[in-house]
Amino acid sequence: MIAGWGAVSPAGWGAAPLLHAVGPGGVVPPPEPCLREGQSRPALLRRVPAPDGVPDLWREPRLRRASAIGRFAAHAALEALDQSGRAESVRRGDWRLGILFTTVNGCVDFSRRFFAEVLRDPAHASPILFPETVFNAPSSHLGAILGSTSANHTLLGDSSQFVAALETAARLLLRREVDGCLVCGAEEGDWLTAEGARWFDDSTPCAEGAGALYLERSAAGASPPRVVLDRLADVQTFSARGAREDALAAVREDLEVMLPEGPGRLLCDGRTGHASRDAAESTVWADWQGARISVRQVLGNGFAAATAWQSVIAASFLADPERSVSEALVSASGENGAAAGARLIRFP
Amino acid sequence: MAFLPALFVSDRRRVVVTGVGVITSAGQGWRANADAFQSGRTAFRRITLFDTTGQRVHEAGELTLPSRLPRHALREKIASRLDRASRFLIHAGREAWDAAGWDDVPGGESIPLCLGTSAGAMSEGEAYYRLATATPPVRRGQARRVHLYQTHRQAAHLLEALDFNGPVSLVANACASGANAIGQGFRLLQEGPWERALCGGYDALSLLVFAGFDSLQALTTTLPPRPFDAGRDGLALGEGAALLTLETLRSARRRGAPILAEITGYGVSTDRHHLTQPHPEGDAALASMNAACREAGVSPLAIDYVNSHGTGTPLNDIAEGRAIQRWAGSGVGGIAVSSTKASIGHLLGGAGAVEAAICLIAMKEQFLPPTTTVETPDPVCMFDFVRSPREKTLRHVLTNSFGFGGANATLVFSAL
Repeated sequence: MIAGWGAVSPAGWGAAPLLHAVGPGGVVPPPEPCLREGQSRPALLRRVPAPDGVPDLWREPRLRRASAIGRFAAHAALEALDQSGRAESVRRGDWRLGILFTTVNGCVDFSRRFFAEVLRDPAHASPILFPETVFNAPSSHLGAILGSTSANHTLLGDSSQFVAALETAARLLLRREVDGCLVCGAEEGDWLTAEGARWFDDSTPCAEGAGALYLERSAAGASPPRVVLDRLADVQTFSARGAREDALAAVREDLEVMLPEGPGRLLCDGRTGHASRDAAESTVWADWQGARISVRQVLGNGFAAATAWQSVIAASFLADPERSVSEALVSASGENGAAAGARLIRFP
Repeated sequence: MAFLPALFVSDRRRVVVTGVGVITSAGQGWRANADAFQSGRTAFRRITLFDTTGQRVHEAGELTLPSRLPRHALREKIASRLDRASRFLIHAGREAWDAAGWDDVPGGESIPLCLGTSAGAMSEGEAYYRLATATPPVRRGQARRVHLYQTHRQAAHLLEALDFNGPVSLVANACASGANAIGQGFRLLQEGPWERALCGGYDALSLLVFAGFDSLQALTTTLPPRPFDAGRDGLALGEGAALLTLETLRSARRRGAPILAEITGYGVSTDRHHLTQPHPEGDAALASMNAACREAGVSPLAIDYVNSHGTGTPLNDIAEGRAIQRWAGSGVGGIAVSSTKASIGHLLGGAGAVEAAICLIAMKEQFLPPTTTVETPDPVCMFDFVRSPREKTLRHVLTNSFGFGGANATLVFSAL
């Protein structure tokens, strides 16, 4: 069961602004140029807006020196856990919480700053920055803030990794190694990422933020409407460009097994609006008749965070009784490594 | 598989190791590493990969890469552009694959690949940054560097080099990554549906990471490192990779494959104490050791050898020493412990996998790998500290990996 979700995005702090942004009339801030010395054509980046005032969460000792990715992840994770009502049980040690953190680019801001210091003079490179460059720093902070001593893994990959991590979460839950599991995807914006991404897609701005789903074993006892992770497609790895379409097709086939025809179906896909980048996904889902949301086209490519946003949107739509969505598919089309997919349903 | 395996929990399958591939500063392959770890030889040298001017430390366990890759299925253009860490992976992967006799893998069989790393292809990222910020900025080759920098591309290179396919899992739990990757593969095979998995860890030396540890003053300035020595002053970094071919017992027996050991226990825990410092009493270390032994169904006194995390930093070794005391209780004096980081340094994301490989080598060749660099053991060493070469038949072996950020992992291997 998906018992909670949370998000931080260029639309704002929380799942609600994210949903508003992808809805009719949604407005998001324009991307900003990532300025740096020596760059004549800056890459574009959609940043998370500054919060109103300093959130209490940022006073946590672990977050005082953390980079943006750690703060985004913590905010999204706490929102998800609070929604489930489990936060206090985890803090008391009564509830074993697993944490799976996924990212493509990781702590790129502090890494770049630290490396610049090393190149200037390694003797003066900051020992405060370095620990925050490590890939698992954000998940370590999550564990400390939430009070978890159970399994805590940082998983790397392309954008599809967030959905692949849902299977890892399901395995942790089903073997009863944990009582609940947070799956979080996060990225932070930086000129280094934005410029790097532009080599492959020069029209889609990068974006930053985080998304999180909180999973438990059973829907029993939960308040309706309950959102259930009904099916995960086998992750399909690929390398050559041509194989990407095959991988996505296999994912779709897996997801749609026994899927009845009918209204109330939503597809949350990974299209960015860049024709070449989207070609495989557009082809594979060309005959899709249901509703469709492409969050990257609205907010930009937030890599692991964007796939998490897809999943948060899917869960939110299913949980909202005013939306007539009974099944939502997440198509996680990675950039150059794998394709994955999930089917979520509303359990009456 | 598509959600979710039916045989969960009630019918876990037994998992064995049928092949090992390893490359470290002590040498390439099983034989070179077995000889080095049996004698406790150290393998450090002045770093040639990058300029260490301005740093406190200038040496590490830098390995000498063979000039040629082993047999592989990569296109030559791709092979010629591989980053250093990808080369480690292909050397270790080919050795493990051949040792296991996996050339009988049917085309189309899905084999999960579980890898652990801390730095990935950091050297590619460093090169990108240098060229992007050069005056004038350099554009040539930058798209390729972005492509190669992404960690999952290293995994893809290994898939292509060994010509197989399957789901890829990349664990970045700092220094526990390699052990976690093996543990993850172990779970996938226990629960199914796969019959085999290729698992391990790797890391190559890079300027950013080296300077980072130097900035923390975590590196020893008095090489070689002396884990558990009363006068220890830090760790030495190393580089390398180890890969293990995991297989269900049923599959290995059906093939008549050589079985090195069974994986009988895997425990994880998270230390919330501090981002870079373990709990001084080793609470989380104790939890992961207990969990692994519980699953293996063995008491601490049944463990014939502990390959400790043993970095040589003052705080780590105290915490781990305390954890071993608490774990073994009154029997601690009979527990044989050493740290092989004294010989090759700390391989970060590769450490857990390489140390697992060392355990398997020791089990097969029946010796205890010594820590030969220690002069005066720290008082925390109430265990049987292995400081000189010894022969011993090993039935159950435990290896610890404790990472930055509090990621702890323990593996138990047992002879069949």
